[in-house]
Amino acid sequence: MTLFFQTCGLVILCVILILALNSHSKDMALLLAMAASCMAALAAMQYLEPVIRFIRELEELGGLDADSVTVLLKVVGIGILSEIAALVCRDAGNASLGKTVQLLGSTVILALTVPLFSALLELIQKILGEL
Amino acid sequence: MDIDLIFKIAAIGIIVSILNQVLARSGRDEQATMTTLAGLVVVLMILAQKIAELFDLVKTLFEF
Repeated sequence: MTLFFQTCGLVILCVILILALNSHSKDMALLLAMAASCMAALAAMQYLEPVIRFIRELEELGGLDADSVTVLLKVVGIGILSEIAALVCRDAGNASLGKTVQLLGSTVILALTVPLFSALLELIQKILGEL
Repeated sequence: MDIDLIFKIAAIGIIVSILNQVLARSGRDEQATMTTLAGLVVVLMILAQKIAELFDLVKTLFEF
């Protein structure tokens, strides 16, 4: 839990430093914001680790297909990273680039989930064939 | 948790902005621009390592 409090303190400190730097050099303030968000995301990922281990345990208990759970985890990772990148772009005053990064993340997620949908389609075809 | 990184980047930012103002006042505008650029590159180098660390962690965590 100390990591959480440390990260909260770090983010608040960083906001104050960014306010101090903003009037002198905007680019350095943006880099500072990027560093803080990077470190906060690192802390968040460390908290996410036991959750993912639990998801793996659940998968073994339920006898689920390992591939589909892996695709799910990948989608979560891509979503987090593209969201952070888009928010940094928006902070820099470049909303169009942020939207484009979000679009990129969405398309990659769609491309990753194509095998799942094709498996679903095959299942439906099999069920319909048995009828 | 290395809070040094934040202080390092903030210190570089403050030093670069002071140097920029001093150089600009003494009429060396191109050197002021070069100083700003150098500071930016140094901070970007530090930040790139951190971003690579985050990407590696996400990669191992979400099994890419």
